[in-house]
Amino acid sequence: MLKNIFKKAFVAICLLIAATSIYLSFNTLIETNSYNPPAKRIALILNSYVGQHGVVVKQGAILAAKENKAELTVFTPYSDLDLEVFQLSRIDEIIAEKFDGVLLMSCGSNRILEAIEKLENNKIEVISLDVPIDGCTGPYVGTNHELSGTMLIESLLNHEQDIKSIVIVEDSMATEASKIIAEYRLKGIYKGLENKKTDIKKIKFTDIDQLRDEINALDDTVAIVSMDSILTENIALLKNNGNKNFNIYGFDSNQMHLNLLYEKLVKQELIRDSLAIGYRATNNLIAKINGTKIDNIDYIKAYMVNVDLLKYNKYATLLYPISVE
Amino acid sequence: MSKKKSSAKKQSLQYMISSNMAVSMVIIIIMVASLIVMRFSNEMQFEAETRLRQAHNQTNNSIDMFINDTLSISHYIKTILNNRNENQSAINEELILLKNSNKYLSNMALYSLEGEFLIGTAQANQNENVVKSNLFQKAKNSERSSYFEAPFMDISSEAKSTWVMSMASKCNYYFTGIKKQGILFIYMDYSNIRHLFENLNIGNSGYAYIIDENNNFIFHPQQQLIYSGIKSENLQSLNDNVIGSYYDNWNGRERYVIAQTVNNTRWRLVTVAYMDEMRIRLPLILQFMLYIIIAAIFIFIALSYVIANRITKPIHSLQTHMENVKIDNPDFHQLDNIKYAEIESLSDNYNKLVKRIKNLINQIIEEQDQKRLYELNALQAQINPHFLYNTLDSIIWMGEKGKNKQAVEMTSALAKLFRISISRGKKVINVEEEIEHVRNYLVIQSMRFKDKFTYSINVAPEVKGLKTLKLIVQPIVENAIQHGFEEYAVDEGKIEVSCYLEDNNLVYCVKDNGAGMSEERVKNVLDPKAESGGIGVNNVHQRLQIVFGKEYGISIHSEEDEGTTVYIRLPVIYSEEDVNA
Repeated sequence: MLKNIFKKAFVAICLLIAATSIYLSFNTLIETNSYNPPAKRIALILNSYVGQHGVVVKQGAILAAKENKAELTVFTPYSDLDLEVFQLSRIDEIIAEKFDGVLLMSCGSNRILEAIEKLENNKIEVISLDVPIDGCTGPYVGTNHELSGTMLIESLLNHEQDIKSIVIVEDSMATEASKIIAEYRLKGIYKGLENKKTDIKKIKFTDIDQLRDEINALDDTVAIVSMDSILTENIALLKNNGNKNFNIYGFDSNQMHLNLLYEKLVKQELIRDSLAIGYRATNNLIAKINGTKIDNIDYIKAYMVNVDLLKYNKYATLLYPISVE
Repeated sequence: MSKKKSSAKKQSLQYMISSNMAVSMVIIIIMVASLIVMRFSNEMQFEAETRLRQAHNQTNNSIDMFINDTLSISHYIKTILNNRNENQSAINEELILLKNSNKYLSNMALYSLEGEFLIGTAQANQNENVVKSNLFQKAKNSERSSYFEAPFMDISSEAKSTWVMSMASKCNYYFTGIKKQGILFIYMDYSNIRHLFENLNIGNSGYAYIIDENNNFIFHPQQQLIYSGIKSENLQSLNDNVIGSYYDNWNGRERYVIAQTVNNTRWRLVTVAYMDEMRIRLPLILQFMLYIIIAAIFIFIALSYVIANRITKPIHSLQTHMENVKIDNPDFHQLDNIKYAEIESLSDNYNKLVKRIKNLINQIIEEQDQKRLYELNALQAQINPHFLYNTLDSIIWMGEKGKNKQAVEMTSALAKLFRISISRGKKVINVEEEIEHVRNYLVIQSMRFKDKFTYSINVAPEVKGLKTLKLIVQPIVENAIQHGFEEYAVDEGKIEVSCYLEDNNLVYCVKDNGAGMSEERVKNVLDPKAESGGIGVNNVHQRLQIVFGKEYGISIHSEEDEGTTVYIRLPVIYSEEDVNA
């Protein structure tokens, strides 16, 4: 009797396991037919509505997101006004939408640090993108702006052997983010000028006439360092139209500067590798979301470019990325 | 013990059948599943490779068209330049028209062999760089029709820089009516090349690129990342394989690569697909197959068990039946409801065998009983020599003392005793003869022992016509005289012999008032193995049981100093044939 019960139980267990397996196999079949690997949702918050740098960073991020099968949403501001409001509201949106991570190109507001903490409290990974955030200990991917300043000034001193003074032109209307970057660059410049007998003069750009007047007052033995790309264009214009002979060294070149370089209105430019910044930052963010340890500071190399280097596509693409038309 | 041990080591037939079936099925399932998975995997890979090849060919065709279009334009411009009737401004207008009507074209320019810009939509790179460029020198020094060069940034066009690809070829032109040779440059917008690759669908990470004979990238989707050092391309593997398809491993990922030369150029179009993306569904398919295999295995195990159970069930029944069979079990029956011919045949043969064994055993028992009976009969038939000697001695003594009448009486009784003992060899005699035989014996013994005992014989009238096994009462009476009176001094000894019917059995009762027996002795009397048993009594008892069965024979009631009563019970028989039957 007991033996018979055991036999029936054995057969029943076998059939139960078989039925379970068939059920699971059908589930797998459904999964196979509608197979979509779960995508990580990440966001890129830019800090400028125009500018080649942001566009190319975005392209790098898109490329990396595609490779990592991540879903990337890019938030581009509609103007350079109210950047803080724009970025903070986007961060709230990201928290509400429960994104997995954010690449944040900070607008430079003090409130951004608070917003980053809020993101972290909601278990959303954050990587600061190319704009250092004061007090933020989280991961950063971007240019070493201080080193960039040193690189530029060392290159300048190398080319301008008899230089007596260097004029640094700053934009008084620059965005907060640009000002933060400029501060780091200046720090690097001063570091590069340590123990040098070169005079430093700073000009705050307010309008083109004021700039013209100030430049005309300079003697010919100066070199001008432009702290951003728009300033570089204005200074080059003044050089082209004026009779002053000075060399211009600038930061943040773009494709509009190609002619300036070819026509030798600008001597050298320090160029950030925007595509690499966007690509690497996205890869790092996804790695962090996946629990992989990443470098807290990941500096992306910047390059000093002059007209001779433009025949090499490696440098030409930095000014004019192949993907940007 | 040893039997138990050996059976413990052996597996049951059901277990053997089910386990062998299950194992065979599992092996077959695993083999078939492995083949299916291998086949499926190969098919999947083949399909992915085919798709990749199609994508590759499609891209190659597009590039081919692009190159052919450029060559057609080049040919068209050369035709115009070769026309001695066209003046320079007319040619210029033609070129501008051509540029505006063709989206591929960025610029066109004609240079003299010395590098002087002659005509064009823009003075593309109209400096010493043009003459120094490899492309110019190649076109100048070779009669090969056209050369293509890697993309570069053209800043000449209307103060707006753009990425272009260039093609140069030597051509003839007529300016001022003199035929000269020059180098025609055609600049193609690079974005058009990029657009050819935009809709390429080779998984998330797959891509295609074009490389020239010097390993310069004409196009690579990650060109800038390669320049930045973030990405790299496996050119070593490409150069080892040159063209065709191959697998390589780059940055820890297996790739399938197709390389093919682009027509009219020395470029190679290389398409790369990542195997993990090509096989992205394979793990799920394998998981699906695994579940199906598990399901199939357990279904087959259950089926094997059920089938084995059905096969072995009749064998189990047969086994149980055989275990219950005892040779002397009269209830042995054949197995019923056997559906299978083999088992039925086995059962039939076994039944026949058991019957045969049973018959043989019965035959042997019968033969042994018969033999024993003959021996007992032979023993019974012998007259105790002491009794004969004593009787004859008594007759002689009576003759010498002149007691002739008593001597005659004893001699007559002895003669009758012998006559009935012999009975012409019959085993069965009339009850009256048996009683007569006892009476003669008692006559002789009472004359020998004079006043030691008296006797009486009572025979029920209804038994007189019946038959009985002969010489069954005399040994009992002899035993009563010998052990009841001869060995012990008993006053007024008495023997009562009676014969009657009881419960349809014939019963002889021999009762004495002799010394009696202890309970233990009573048991020994009927035990054939006991040394102190009565030989005569036991002989009678065995003869009766052999002939009539165990329920017949002798029973004794005895008390010490009180006497003994012996009952001889046998069935009622009317003829000797009844005994033989």
